[in-house]
Amino acid sequence: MSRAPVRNGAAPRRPGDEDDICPVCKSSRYLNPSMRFLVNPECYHKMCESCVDRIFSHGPAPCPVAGCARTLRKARFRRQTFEDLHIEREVDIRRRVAGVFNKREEEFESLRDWNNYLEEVENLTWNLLQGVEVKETEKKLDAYRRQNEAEIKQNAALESQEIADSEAQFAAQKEQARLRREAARNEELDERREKEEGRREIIDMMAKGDGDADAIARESQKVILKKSTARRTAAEKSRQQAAAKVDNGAAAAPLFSIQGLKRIPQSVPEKEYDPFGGYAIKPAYYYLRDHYEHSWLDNARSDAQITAGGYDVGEYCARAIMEASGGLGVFIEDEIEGREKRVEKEVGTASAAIASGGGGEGVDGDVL
Amino acid sequence: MAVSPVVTYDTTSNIKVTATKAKSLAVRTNSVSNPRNGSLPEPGKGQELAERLNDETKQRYVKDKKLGEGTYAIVYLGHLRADPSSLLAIKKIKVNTEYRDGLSMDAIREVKYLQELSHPNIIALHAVFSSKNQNLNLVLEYLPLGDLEMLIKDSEGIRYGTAEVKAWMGMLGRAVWFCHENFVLHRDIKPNNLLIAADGEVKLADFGLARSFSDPYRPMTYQVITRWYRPPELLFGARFYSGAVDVWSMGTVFAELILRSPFLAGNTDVHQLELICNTIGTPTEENWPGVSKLEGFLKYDKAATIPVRGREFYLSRFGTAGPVGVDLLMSMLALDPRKRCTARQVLEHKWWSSDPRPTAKEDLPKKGGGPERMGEDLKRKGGEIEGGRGDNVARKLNFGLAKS
Amino acid sequence: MAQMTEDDIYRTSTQYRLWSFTRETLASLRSSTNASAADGVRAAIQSQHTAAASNTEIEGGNDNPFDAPKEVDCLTVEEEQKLVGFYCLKAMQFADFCEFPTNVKATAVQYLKRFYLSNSPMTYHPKEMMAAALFLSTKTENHYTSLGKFAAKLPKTTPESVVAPEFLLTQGLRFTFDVRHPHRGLEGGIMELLGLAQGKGHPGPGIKKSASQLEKEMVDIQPAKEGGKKSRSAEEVVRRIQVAHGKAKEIGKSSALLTDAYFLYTPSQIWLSSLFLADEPLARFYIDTKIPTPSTLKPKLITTLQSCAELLRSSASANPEEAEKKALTKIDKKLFKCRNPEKVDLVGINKAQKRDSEGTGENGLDEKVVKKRKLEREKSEREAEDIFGPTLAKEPN
Repeated sequence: MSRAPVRNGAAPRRPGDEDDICPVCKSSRYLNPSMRFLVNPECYHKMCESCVDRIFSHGPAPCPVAGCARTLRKARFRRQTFEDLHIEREVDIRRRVAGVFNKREEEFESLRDWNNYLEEVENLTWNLLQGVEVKETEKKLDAYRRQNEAEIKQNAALESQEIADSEAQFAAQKEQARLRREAARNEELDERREKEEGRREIIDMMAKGDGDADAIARESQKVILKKSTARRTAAEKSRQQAAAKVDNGAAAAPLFSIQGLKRIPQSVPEKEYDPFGGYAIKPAYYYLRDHYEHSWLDNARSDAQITAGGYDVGEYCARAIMEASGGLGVFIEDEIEGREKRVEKEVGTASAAIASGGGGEGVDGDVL
Repeated sequence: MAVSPVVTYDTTSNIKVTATKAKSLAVRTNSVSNPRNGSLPEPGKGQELAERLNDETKQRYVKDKKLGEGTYAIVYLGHLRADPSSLLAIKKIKVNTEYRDGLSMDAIREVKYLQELSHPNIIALHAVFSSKNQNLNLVLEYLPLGDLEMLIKDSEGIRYGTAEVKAWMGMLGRAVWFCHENFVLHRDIKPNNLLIAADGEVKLADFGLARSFSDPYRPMTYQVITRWYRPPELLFGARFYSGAVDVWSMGTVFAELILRSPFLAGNTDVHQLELICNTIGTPTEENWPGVSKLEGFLKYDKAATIPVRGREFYLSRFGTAGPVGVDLLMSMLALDPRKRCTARQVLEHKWWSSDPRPTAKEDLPKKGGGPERMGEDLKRKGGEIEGGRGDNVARKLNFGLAKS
Repeated sequence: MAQMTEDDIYRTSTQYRLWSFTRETLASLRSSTNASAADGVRAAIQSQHTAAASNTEIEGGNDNPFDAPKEVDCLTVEEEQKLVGFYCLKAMQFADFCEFPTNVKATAVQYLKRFYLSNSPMTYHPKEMMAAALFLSTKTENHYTSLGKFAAKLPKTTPESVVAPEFLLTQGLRFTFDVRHPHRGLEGGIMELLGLAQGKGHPGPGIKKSASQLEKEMVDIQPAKEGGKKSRSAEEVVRRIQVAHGKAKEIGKSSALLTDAYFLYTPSQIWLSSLFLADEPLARFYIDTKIPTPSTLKPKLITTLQSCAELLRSSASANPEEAEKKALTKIDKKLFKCRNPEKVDLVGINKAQKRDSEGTGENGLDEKVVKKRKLEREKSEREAEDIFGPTLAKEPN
């Protein structure tokens, strides 16, 4: 951000200074041209610098604006960037969310997955902006941050690196001589970063639980062997920590999961062939037992005419047990209503309701 | 509909009107109705909701050229009205021919099960609608690259190895597994019912003989599955059977893919049994307890009994599949259906993770059967084959027999 | 990709995708069908009238050809519903008479119920659709009987009259033939309960209780009725399950089919609701073995089951009372006056369409057909008196 030059010793006019009267002490900018307004991102209530000094110098205190009473800290007061405080707040929130959800497009399998991810993140942001389910959303945000610490850091580093790179490039166009120094420094930085990243990758992979831990460990062993024993124990320690983290992650149900992330290509072998093509049928309400007693099945179990042809009572039991609970958790009133609403928006008729099953979106193919 | 086509409703169409609007519309039409048009109702007037819905569906698709015609169905190439670049196959079933008992069983089965099953390895039914003259039209996924039989037969032009066989068998296995998980027997698995999509994906088609299974004491007909792919229990007239019948067919397709010729190509049902005895082994009470109780069981001379073939035999003929592959093949071709592996067990087999890795579908050999081949494949009815090739099955199902 | 639970599998069915509705939609669908059918009836009657008027004009001069006929008194949605319900019952009796298995019977009834969501009895009389629905369901449920044999079993039924409406029926069913019933699920649930009673059960995922613990708990379940006796042993629990099984099975074969339960609930919810009616504490115990206790699902499921049970309880009895019969006869008489004259002769229409398909006739209905229709009309006029039709040879059990 380039700053406007300071004129005549008076504070530069910034967005938010237009009102010119401090809502707290009612002193006017007209009388005090050097007056500056500050906001605190806790509540975005605006007040003048001297009020901030007066009220918050001795530690956190409640916001003096009537009906607010949020506890504010002086350190967090800052100048306003945007004229509209709502935008100020939105930008802050967005910055905060983006700082956590900093995945990059190239990490995704497809554009669709990337878009889905963006949408999911936008939903979270929106919730925070609109004050919807704030507690839950914050929890999700926090859980995600804790679970993905390393990756977030890595991406943040990558981003700042990119910014640095582009800045460097920009500078390069202007100053050839500086470029050489810059490049030299970048190289050094890169080297360090790569080292760091390499180590993180291993940990991350283990943390994510992808692949065989032993295989990864073996792989990393080659690298680690070159390093000092002390570092090796450090790596071991962090491996244990990472494993512990995985356990924690599994215990606490994932509050936020991202679909369609690419597997990290380097050092991960080709995805294993799945004979089931990604499909799996896993009952939610029962465990199938080997044998079920039901007197009317006895004959089907013993009659050779029936069994010799391959008829299997077990198949019947499997089906009956599956149908006993299939759809228990499907609430037509809720699910179908949503579906009808969607179709009705498009068409707006009763026939649309009956047609909704064959309609364009939603329930159909996507289930699979 | 098994898979919903990507179409959005055309909101301008006058078909979709609210009840009240429909009323006012109908009243208006009445007031201007011309006494001369007599008893012929004009479209839309007083039309029942069901008819309107059908028309709506019909309007979404356009038939282009005819791809093939059989006694049972005509297959057209088609597209979505809203998207001329889309490709579809429209199978028009001739409802009024031949079968006097109303809608034929083949048509019913095909529609019933395809409507329910939605899986990448099962041909997708996008919609069904009726056209005038009471014909049933099935809007199916377009599968332009022919079928597996074509690839197997073209030993000059098409070369493939174990990795390809594994890829195809995997796709077939998933299709059958999914059918069985939904308690549907296909009962006509064979290479020319395995159609190939533009991206190389194999899709199981022709559900004209399919039925649901698992209920006890419900006899089923044994006159199903094209003879060469028919398991011994059906040849012995078993009325109570299971998913194992489809697994046997899978086994024979597996063998055929490796041999590049039909594995057990009998001329008659008796000959088929003979081939099974000679090639795999003679069914006896020892290797198949209870088999002699089956209605159609044929007693064999003790002296003529051929013991069940061991691993060496399979290794010598199907060695290219590797020892693990041979294990799988053998477990699919077990005489006793209870000892045969299930579709799920097929997919859980070690073969899939052993070398070589199955070829990616995009890299599979293609022949480009072209639209006409799909026309040929789809115009048949369940169990029907164009002359020769194991022609026999279940042209007419004996339902009387199937009842208790 | 897809990890599917048994709920997800149900969601792939056409029953869920095309035939599940909320109560509101169901009502609006029916009233919309009724309204458009009434319009159709009025239009058809008027066009017949004007045609007749113009004929007389040619012959001898009627100076007001546009003289509208008296406003036709059409059936209300409730009347339609009653009538369809009656013929569903009739279909069940026929099915029993023919000794068809439960699934054939139950599917036929659902076909009728589904068909009349988008069609009105004023357009297509349920008497004719009933035979077609039953015949179609013998085919879709793998219990095929030849058309000749089938028609011979039903009084006043010819093979043509069975098959003539079949096409309309399949269209009304939107070409989906699969119906998911609660009956097999009930057997599954009973098998699970029996296993639990014998100490061999296994609770659902997330519930950490041993088989013997559950066995013990089962003995302690509250009695089915207030003031009833508690079971004292595993044997008594088994007997209790069997009693509840019998009751629930009956509900599954009667009110579950005749009410809107299939449209509003899933098969597993329907059978569990039947068990709820038969033995509520047992049903609650069963749910506790499936769904861990602190969950939002359980209270929701219980509420759903209660409302479904309420629906099942309220259903019409299998044997209509005299007053009910009178009301039905009245509706049938009313229907006679407001039937769509263009759709009365289904056999004729069917033949005409078939003729079209063979490339002969062009515009379908010729003089002969019109004449034949008139005869049919007169015939049905005579029969209209007797909505309950001829009695069956033997009363089904």
